[in-house]
Amino acid sequence: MFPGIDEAVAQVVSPTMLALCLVGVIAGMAVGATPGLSATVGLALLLPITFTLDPARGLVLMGAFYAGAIYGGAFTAILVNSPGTPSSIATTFDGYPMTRKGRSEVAIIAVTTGSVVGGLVGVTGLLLLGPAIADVVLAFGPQEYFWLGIFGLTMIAGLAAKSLVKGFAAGFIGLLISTIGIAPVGGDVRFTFGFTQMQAGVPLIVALIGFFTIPAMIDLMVDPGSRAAAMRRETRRREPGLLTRTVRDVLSRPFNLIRSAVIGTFVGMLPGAGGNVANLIAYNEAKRASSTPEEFGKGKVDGVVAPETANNAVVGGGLIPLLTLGIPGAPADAVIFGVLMLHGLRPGADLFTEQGSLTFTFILALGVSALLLAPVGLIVGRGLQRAVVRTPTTYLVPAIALLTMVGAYAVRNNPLDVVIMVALGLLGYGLRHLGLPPPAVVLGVVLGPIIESGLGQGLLTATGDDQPWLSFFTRPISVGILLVVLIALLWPVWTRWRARRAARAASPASAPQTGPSDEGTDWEGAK
Amino acid sequence: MSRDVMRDLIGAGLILAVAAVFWSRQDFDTPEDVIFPRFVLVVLTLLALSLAAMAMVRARGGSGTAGGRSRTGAAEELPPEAARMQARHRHDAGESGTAAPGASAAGATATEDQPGGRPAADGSAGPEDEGEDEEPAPTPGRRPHWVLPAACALLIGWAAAFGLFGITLSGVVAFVVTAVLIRRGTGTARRFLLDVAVALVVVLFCWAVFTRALLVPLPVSVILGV
Repeated sequence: MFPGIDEAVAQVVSPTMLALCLVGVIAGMAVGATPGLSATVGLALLLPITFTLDPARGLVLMGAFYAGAIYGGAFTAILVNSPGTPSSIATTFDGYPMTRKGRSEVAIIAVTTGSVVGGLVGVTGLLLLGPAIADVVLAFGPQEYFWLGIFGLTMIAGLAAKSLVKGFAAGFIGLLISTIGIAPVGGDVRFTFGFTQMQAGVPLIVALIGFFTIPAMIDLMVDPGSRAAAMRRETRRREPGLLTRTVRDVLSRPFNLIRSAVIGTFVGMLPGAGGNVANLIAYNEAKRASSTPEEFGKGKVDGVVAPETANNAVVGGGLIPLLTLGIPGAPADAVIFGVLMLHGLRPGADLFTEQGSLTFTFILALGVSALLLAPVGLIVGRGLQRAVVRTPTTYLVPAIALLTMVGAYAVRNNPLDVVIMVALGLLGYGLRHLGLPPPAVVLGVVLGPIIESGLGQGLLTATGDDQPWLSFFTRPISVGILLVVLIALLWPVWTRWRARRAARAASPASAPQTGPSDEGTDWEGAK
Repeated sequence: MSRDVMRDLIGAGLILAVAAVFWSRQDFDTPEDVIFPRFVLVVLTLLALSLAAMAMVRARGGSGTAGGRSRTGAAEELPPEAARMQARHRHDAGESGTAAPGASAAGATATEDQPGGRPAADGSAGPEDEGEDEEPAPTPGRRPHWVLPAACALLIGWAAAFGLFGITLSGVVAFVVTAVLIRRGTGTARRFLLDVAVALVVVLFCWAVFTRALLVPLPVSVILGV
């Protein structure tokens, strides 16, 4: 079934390969934890080094680096509310509130556990189901991507604190920001206001850093005492057995881990979606499935485990269409595709038969890298967390601000991006005070291009039909996703009705004022 | 007019203004490129109008939380027993914030803490969170009014100076200014020198990592030449 796997196992457990995995994971973590430097940028920087290595070692180093970078993005998301990579957007929702409660160490341990599980599930999916599932991926057309984007938008219902209207207003502001620049289908230049530098649009990473980090920086400058109190609490709370207890707690809810890992593996397979979509969907599904959804956004462990499990599963999932069909699932996979081509390896069935030893070495090394996340994360990661906890706010805030400025600049080596980042951050700060949740804006920025490309391309591909619009409602997979969208939209209505009925049964006097509609993340108060 | 209503009206006005500005800049005509932004702008306008309408209805009704009935306002209308039960329900749900007037003390101190025991690993904090800080966090009422505008101005200035003066000069100056701002301008000369030393180390380390290891061509200071 797996030709050459015995050879691959022998290669992977060799000291050289293990050392390469370790170096790759640590280097990836460092790059992933730097706001502005995504896994793709890091892999591109690593590319020249792999020229000097043989194909197996080059691929193993790239794979380990990729796994480490995706995992590393969680650190800054948790510690300073700045997602290191777009794959960690949802990690900030509960990660930073945990830090504010003095529970960042618990968050780090939890995401490490989730990342290991997610990484292993993704690799298992790649190993066992890859070629079979790849055919399903080919059936995804623009219409399906359009509905997938709309499904992502339903998450706003969960992010909206007190008002769905405000939540959707914030989401649509994000969609509007995503339309700035050259249009993805027709190529028109839109909303640049005369600035030629804006033709490439607002980079996602710049928007991410701006909307998440700048408001947090302003909060810390305005009220440094709050962090000092949380950090004192964290230092005082450090107790023996925290590691075991947290790992056991995370593993005690296996459904959350498995669901998130499956979401990550599947979304990872869809070209163009990747970890930035998977982590949002996984977070939303974890919240929807939770018996205490009102605790999400306030520092719940499941809220950091779900997105991190999903985005690490994307690593394996994204390689399924790459290795079987030659279609990169995520931008980072495109760099790995470059390494394959560089060494004369052509993706397809042959890669698993004629080049079986090399392919399985790469896949197994990804599994080893996922396992290495545990020791590396728990030693290096907790060390970083403790260093951040001990750093005085006086120096932490300017250091993070400096890093965000450099990170925003590094995306396109454009100083204007730094100004855009700060402007978006100030906008996010203002919107938050108006009750418009900044994460919903970011959601719009992430999903806008997916929805618009799906819509435009879907209409173009159906121009031969009498009613091109109908193609969005007649394709089987589209209808399936549409049904999921409807369930996602009706779910809050159903839970609200159920809660109201329960409340009415418990106390008729208070029933009309209670219910989940009033609950959720209080972004105005979550400063 | 309550603060919440005013805030919603400002929010609605801002969204309408943004939608109007973007609508006026639609100087493109490819059908595939027009559909999506136009749909977004129409929905944004409708959402802004809904927000404004809801705020006005609330203003006329005399209550005040965004997007629905005010929690406190609603509780004020309730008999004391119902208000107490409502406050207790919120406390059980882990909701933070102020409770309704007339509610019991138990309900009024709504926090996210668990009712007892050590901190659970599920995200809820333990009871030691309550009142354990020797140094309470500054409250908005005691915060100097100039800090927020100063922080915003500092970030804008830093972003503008980053491209103009390079990472080193803008970084060191802005780093020190930020540290002084967080300290509210207090501190000794020795402390200031320490700030400068830390700023130099951090900025030069950052510069070395990005330019030498990650090969990012950071902007150069025209004054220092680095």
